[in-house]
Amino acid sequence: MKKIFIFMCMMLICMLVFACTPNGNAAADGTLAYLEALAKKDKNAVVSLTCKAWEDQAILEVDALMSVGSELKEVNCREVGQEGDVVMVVCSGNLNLTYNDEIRSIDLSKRTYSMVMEDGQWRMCSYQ
Amino acid sequence: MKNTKQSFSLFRILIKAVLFFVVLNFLFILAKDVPIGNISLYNLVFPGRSRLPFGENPSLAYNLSMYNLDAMISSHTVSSSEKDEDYKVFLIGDSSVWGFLQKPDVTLAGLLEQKNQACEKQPVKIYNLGYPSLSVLKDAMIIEKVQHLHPDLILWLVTLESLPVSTQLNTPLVENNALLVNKILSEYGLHGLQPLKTKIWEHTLISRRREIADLIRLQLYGVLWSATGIDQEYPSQYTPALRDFETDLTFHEFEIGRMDEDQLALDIITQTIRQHKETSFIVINEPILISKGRNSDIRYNFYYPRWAFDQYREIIQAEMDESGIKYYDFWNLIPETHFTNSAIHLDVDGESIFADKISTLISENCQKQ
Amino acid sequence: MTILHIAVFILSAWIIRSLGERPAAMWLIFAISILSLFWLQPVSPIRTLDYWLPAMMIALSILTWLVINPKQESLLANNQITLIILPVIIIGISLLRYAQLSFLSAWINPTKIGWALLFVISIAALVFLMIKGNISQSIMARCLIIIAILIFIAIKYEPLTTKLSYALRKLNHQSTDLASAQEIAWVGYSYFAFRLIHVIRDWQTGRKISINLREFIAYIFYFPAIIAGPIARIENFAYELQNRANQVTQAHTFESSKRIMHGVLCKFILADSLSLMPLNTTTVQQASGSIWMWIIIYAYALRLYLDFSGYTEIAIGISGLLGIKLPENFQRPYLSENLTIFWNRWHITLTQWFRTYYFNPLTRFIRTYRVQLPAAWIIFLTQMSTMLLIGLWHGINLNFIAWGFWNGLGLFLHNRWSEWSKQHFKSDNKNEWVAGSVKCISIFLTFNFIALGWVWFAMPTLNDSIIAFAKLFGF
Repeated sequence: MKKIFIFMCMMLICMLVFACTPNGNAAADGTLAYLEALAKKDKNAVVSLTCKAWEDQAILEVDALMSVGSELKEVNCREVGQEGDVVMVVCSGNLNLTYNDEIRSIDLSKRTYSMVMEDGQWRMCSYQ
Repeated sequence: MKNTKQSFSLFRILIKAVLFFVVLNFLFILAKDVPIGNISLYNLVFPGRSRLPFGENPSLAYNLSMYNLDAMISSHTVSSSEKDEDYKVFLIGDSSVWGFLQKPDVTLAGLLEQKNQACEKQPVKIYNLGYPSLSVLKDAMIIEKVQHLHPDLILWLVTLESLPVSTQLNTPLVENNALLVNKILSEYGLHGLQPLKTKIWEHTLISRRREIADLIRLQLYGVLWSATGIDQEYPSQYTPALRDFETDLTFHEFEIGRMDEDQLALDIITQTIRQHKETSFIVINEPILISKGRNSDIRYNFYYPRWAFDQYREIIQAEMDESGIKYYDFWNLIPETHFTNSAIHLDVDGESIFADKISTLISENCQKQ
Repeated sequence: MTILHIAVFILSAWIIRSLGERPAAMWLIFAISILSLFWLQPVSPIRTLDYWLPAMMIALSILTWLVINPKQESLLANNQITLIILPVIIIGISLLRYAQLSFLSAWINPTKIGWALLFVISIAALVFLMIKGNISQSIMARCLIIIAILIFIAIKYEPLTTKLSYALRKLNHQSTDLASAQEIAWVGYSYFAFRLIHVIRDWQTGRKISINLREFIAYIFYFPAIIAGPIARIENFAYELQNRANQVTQAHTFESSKRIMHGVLCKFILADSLSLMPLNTTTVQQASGSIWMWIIIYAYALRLYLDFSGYTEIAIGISGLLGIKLPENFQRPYLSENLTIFWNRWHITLTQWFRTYYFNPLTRFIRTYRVQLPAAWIIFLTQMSTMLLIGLWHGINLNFIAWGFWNGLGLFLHNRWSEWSKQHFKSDNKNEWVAGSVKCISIFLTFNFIALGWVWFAMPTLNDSIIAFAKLFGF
């Protein structure tokens, strides 16, 4: 019993250490997760990956993709700066939208995503 | 001991099953030339579709985008026309011919069909073989596939956006039919395009699983096609085609002000027609939206700066004349108020004007093969 | 449940089975069941809801287990490992919040560690009070049943669910304009509530079962059956759990594997193909002609059966790999000759549950009531109310009430017909042809009655249902 209890405590401590280890690229990873959810048109996941202020906009973004095919191509994201609590992220690659059997490529490098830490996760809060 | 024996026996069965599947997977390569798409419930259990299957929102369109041309054509009502004695007119083109936002009876083909024309006492039957994709190579593929149905006349509607050499291989329908594309490039002598690379494992069962699934789904959608007559999503609202533009003179990778005819795939048109001498062809430059909005002095519409389109018209006219191909230029036939969500998509009124013009052409060009 | 979930569950079943009778096997069943609860819960637009829903289920399960076990000091001592592991899992999942895993928010939004600790401490305090304190088990039992039913109403009655969504969004400082009932999707709650009420009611009626917390949790959240049943009885499950080693034979394994493959075929191939011909408001409005409407209705009826029975077969198959036999849930229901037989063959464990905990007690009550009702009235009341309840279980709206009424009326009419025909027709007709024809006609009529009943089930409003019926019969 004592051994089990000690083992459980060690598990919790390990998880704490793991949780508290900073992930250098977390904001960029969050942007990538958002784009992946958007391409999959997973509304709940997209909303979950955006900040509260951007929620209704995120739903519009997903709804706009409902009638088209969407696919990410060779996307990589990286952090490019920080303004206060907002981390700016830029991604390379394309979001390919198939409409009318034409592939309209959105060059993601032309967008800068603003990521904020909200409820413990980096979430997409707007893009320009 | 007993458990070990049992586990080993199960393991052996699992290995055999995996091996059997692997063998079957690769044996499927032998079937790469088998036209499995010809197996269709359309024109048998379900009525044939009025246009080629296309749908980016299958649950609402009861239709889907797929790449097996045999299956697409087998599901079309044209497949039941092989033995017909009618005067068969095939319309080939892009989404404007296919009929974006239009019900089947008010597409160009639908309106032409309602005119009940006759050609030397033969009823004229119009078949909509347009497909929403801007590529004359795609058109050539469809023409190649329907020749066995003995069309009397093919009306090939083209526009500049379907002609740049650089975009011919980009469209998904072309990309996913490498064998047919390479056959056309080789037989038609089209050396301006690089053949598509194919890999042997692209013909395995696993690689073709999506294609087979689409074949089955197309049959299943036949129920709702038959029950409702719906093959497209009709949104209650759409974004109208742009009429105001930026100061943008670019057109693909063409040098501004110079339409290099070598970068236009006009040879696909001429060689296709040459390859199918037994069929009459009429090539038509389809109507486009001519905007009156901001920067309309330099751009006709979203697709075309004026310089590019004007030069294209001269080039294609010259090419068609030189090749002895019947060609009509209706680029400015339709007022801009009759365009819907694109610079080439017409509303019903615009389509009626166009249909009146085309029906005159059919009458004028009516002749026996 | 997706193919990925099924594949992971099959792999887990193999690992557990390979451990044989070792204690680790039982712990693994327990751990995988708890973790599956979080994994299967889809991410919610309402922040942290996807964490709290499973956490609340775990808390309610612990309290239920305390209710059905006699209060004794040794209870905690004998289950201390489980009582430690459960909070560790709840807190551990909450700690993932701080790991900054980018993909996490697409799966779950864990709450802050403070809230998780507060929750765990609250439940621990309640546990302590229940064992050491004066909280009456019978009062607690009643409270738990009421809570289970109230939660059920809250998530099944759309206006209430929308209000709940509004309130939770407000609590989370999220936009309330986006509140909708669809945001609160509590996966597995119905079956969880059935199991909970079943064990509490059995305890209340004197059927005691001795089960430790680990096995109890494994029963409540048993991972193959968590989403769509079947609803096993706890005493049967406990017996199967203890004797699973005897069921792990080659024959059982083959049979289980066949069940899984058959289930996958039914659900992911046949049912999903039939879903391309949906029965909904749009297709009803668009359909031209009654023949196509009938085809759509039949396709829907078939799809419902294949979807549900497919899931059940997968659950039974995966459980079979573990050596645990789950009860059957379907026995060729569409080949039933009458409605009574149909409802003994369709979702068998659900109808048995309602029969045990509602129909039989209600019948006994009415029969022993001081005001004596005619037999026909008793049958009508009991059958109709049972079917209405089953309808409401699917959703609290007029359409499900109509569906329940349709089936209740059908059952009653069949019951009256049976009584009447027994008195007026000879039952020993030896003509095989006649008997066979009668059987075929009976099956045909029963199937069509059920299929027409699905119209009420599938349509969102009564008006849409009436339009569908009108089209079916050519109006």
